[in-house]
Amino acid sequence: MCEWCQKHGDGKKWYLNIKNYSKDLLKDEAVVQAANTYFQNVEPFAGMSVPMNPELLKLKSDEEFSQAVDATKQAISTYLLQKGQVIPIEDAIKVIELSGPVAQVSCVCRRMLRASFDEKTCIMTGPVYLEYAKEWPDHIRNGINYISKEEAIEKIEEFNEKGYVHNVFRDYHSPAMFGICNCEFPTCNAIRSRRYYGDWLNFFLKKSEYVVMHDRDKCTGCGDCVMRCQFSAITYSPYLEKAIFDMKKCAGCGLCRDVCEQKAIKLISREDVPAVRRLW
Amino acid sequence: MDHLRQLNLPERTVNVQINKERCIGSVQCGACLKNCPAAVFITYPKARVKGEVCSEWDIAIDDTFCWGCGVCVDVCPQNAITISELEK
Repeated sequence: MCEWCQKHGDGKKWYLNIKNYSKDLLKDEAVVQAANTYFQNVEPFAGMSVPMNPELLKLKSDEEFSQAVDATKQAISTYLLQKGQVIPIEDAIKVIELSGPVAQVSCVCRRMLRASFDEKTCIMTGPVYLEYAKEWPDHIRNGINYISKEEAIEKIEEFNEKGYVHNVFRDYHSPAMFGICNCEFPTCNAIRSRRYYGDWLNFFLKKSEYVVMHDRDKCTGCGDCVMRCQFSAITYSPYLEKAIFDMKKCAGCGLCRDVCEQKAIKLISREDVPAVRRLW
Repeated sequence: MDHLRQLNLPERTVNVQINKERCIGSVQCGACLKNCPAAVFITYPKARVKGEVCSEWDIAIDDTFCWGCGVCVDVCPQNAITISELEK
């Protein structure tokens, strides 16, 4: 269990706890302020690399380094009030079944990194985004598209087939749910920071509660899974004639599992693998 | 050197620049943003006001992430983009 599940999960995963979808969270002033800061400032800050890079590298001692890392995290958290976690498709469907109104809106990352203003790939489930997005029409070009739960699940399956990773996003300070984004590298800021910076800057996008388990005997080395991985965790090994999996990079999204014709890939709980159980 | 092992930073080696006078803008054109494989171009509203659609968008470049392929130079209809080696 990640720390957020321990705090807000009531014994379950935090995103499966019905309390985190409640409209009561809107009464919290910190949540309201965070939502508005997010809508006002998200573009200039989300896409840029961490401004302190050169300074971090020049520092000598570990103590100075960790201080600088903390300062960087603090600086980013002031502007980026969204925090996410990768989820596999079965959990994404559970989230949609739990949530109240479901709506499709245009994607903020695709707008700022691809100038694609209308592509509606984000499925919003929580009250926070839908309540406040109306006041910021830039974020909802072509409107908020309310859809039924069945339609939302169909969309999720469609995105899964296309090869998008499902990330569930919440407010930075509270467990208030934003929604499910369907992301790809490098157009998603979260996956991008994850891949470029590695585990030390993991607060923006946490890995999922699962990790991949590969059955070598069943693998035929067809390579279908290699193309699906958005986290560069899978490589084809010509020597072994099989796909090889970097468990430390694996975020547990389950995209590779869904295309494996041999059923050689499955997801297991991250808790059960000692090497990666503390890697979020 | 333990702390360096935790970092996996891309090295900045190129300087990508847009000639703002020639650039048509991301909303009207956006060819560089749509074609860049590393998505180093970022577009953002010049001034966002609550309740209004912002029509003026600026382009910023984060060339730490640039892979140096040169696609942006090819696709820019205004020849406004230049890539040069970063002087140390």
